[in-house]
Amino acid sequence: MLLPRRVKWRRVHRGRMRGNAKGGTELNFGEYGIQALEPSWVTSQQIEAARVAVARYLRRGAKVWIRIFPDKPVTKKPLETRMGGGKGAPEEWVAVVKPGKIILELSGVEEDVAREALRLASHKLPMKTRVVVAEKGGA
Amino acid sequence: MAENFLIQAGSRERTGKGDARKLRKRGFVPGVVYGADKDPEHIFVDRNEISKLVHQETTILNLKIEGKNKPEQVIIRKFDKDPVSDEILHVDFQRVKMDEEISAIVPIILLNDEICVGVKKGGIIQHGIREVEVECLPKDLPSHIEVDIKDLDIGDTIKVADLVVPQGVKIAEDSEEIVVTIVPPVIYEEEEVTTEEAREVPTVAETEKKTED
Repeated sequence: MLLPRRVKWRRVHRGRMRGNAKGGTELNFGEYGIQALEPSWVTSQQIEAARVAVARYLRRGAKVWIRIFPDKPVTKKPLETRMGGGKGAPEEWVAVVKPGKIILELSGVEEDVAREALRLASHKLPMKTRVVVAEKGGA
Repeated sequence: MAENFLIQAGSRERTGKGDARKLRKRGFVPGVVYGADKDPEHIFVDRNEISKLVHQETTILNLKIEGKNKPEQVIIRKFDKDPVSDEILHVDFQRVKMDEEISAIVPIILLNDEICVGVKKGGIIQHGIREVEVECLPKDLPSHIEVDIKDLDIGDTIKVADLVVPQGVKIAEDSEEIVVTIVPPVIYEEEEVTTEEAREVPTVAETEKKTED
């Protein structure tokens, strides 16, 4: 599971997810990738589930890159607690993903195999996605 | 090198996001043309025409601006694209002087990747850079640089210094930069999926305090 080694602040504000991704919108390492089409928080469990889905389908002979990192703590209050008493305890870690962001990339397999692996991975993610393919020769 | 592409462009009197958006709605792409010691000009081009060109190999184009007699020789320096819709939002053209060196980004094309020795053994082709910046006279500008990876085995690497470029072309990148390498296959073991809870993570203040103690 992905989580930061140390953080500056234990609890952070929720924030807003307006607009599209500013960077990380092109394939930089692999030949195939999944691109987010909607904004969403992706938890470290979801990232791990997507990675495992790809690894199980491919078994061997492919290389996978995860392009997002869950660096935002999300807090939760215990069940049946009255409001007040300060902000809850950190519960999980999420990556803030905006439309256009490449979530994971892979290379070393045929296109049909890659598409199936990425389709399986996309079912583990909380937003609409699409498969992107690098242009031959160029980026 | 093909030099016969002719692009028709209109001149833009007004600039800013409002006018740029109006142009995009009408099927045009706002752009700018600069360089060759002349003043920059705001222009617009047809979206369908430019969409085809930006994905092609680097080449010198003839840009005919409305109201001018002679087309100008330009290269596409940069273009902005919407990350979701892939629509071209803006394009920069740079004028070229035929007797002056220019720098341009040229794609690297891998040859014989299917019969590569390392790939046959199960290795994976890993790209370092997919494009390279070159400096040359416009007439020498290559549309792409080819790299033959037929004899590359697992663990072998091709660096920028190994690239073969036509005469008169200089590569303006670090010669140690990796272009392509064949990495051994990754074998994914069946691993236990742990549902580990979000662990307490120390804050910067806490770790600094600990090191002070």
